[in-house]
Amino acid sequence: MRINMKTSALAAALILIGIGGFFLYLDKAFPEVRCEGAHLAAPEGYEDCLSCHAKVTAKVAQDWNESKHGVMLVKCVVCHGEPDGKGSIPFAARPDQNMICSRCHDPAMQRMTDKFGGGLDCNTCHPRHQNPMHADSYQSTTASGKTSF
Amino acid sequence: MPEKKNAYRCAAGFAVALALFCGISYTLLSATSTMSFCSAACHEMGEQATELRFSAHAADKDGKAVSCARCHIPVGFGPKYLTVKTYSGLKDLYAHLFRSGTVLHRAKLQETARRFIDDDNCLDCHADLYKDARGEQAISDLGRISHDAYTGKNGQAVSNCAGCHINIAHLPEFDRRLEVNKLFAERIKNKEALRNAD
Repeated sequence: MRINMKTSALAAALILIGIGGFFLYLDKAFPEVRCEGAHLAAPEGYEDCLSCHAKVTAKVAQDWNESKHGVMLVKCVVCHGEPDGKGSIPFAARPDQNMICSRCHDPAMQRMTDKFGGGLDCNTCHPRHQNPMHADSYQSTTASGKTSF
Repeated sequence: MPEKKNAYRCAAGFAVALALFCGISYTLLSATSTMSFCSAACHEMGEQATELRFSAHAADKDGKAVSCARCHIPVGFGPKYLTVKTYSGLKDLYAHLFRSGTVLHRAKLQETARRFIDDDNCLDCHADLYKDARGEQAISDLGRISHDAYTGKNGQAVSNCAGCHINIAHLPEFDRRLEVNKLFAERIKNKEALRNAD
């Protein structure tokens, strides 16, 4: 009986290690975010985010350009911070909404929390780079031609 | 010597079990990597398969149709292959059994699909990053600069291929408005119009 207990404990431990190892390897071989921090290699290159990102991440750049944030010229660094880590905004591909969105939208976020409860991600309903949810009136079905990179 | 006999039997049984396990695994792994399995057997990826047929990746340089697996399942039979097969297999099985009938969230799907497209799969056909897939024409200046960054010659970007090359085989409705996808969008639109007219 004692051996059985030991064997099953060992088997359970091995299975747990196996599953843990599988996910560790998965995350290492296929990381979720890959661009972060790489900008540090060429500090002179990031002065103008859009000039590169209009080419390498065309969709994000165009979505931003057509969004309210783009129209109001809320630049990349306002939410994403600077790659060298200077300034008060941390450099992040996915900014923390409680820290970033609330800097400008705190009253609105408070109203939403009161109405619907907390715990929701702003981005689910209001994609930050894309047109806001109720913007059909000014959403063009064809490429707008606004962007001229 | 009954103990020795038992040991032999044990070893033989183990060998047979191992051979069976390998054989069955190999058959199942191959069978679940086929184009018809992805797009027809379970129906989920039918739309994606149609888009692929009108994309730049419909056929390879030899004119052979490109299957889902050529891009979405790592090449070779190494740990990457087995990891992706296990992970995406379990995920797809769950989606098929328990989320069947729901409309697939394509924006979310893009994130997962791009994450698991291994660069080696792209490099398998696009060996020379400064020429097209046939190895004949040189790529554009912009492409050269970007690939310099990728290879570390002029390095800033550490992205995977699919991080920059989006919508190369599939084009969901919300990406059709983009200027860079104009040609692809037109091709799909024309073919859909033709099919509706039939």
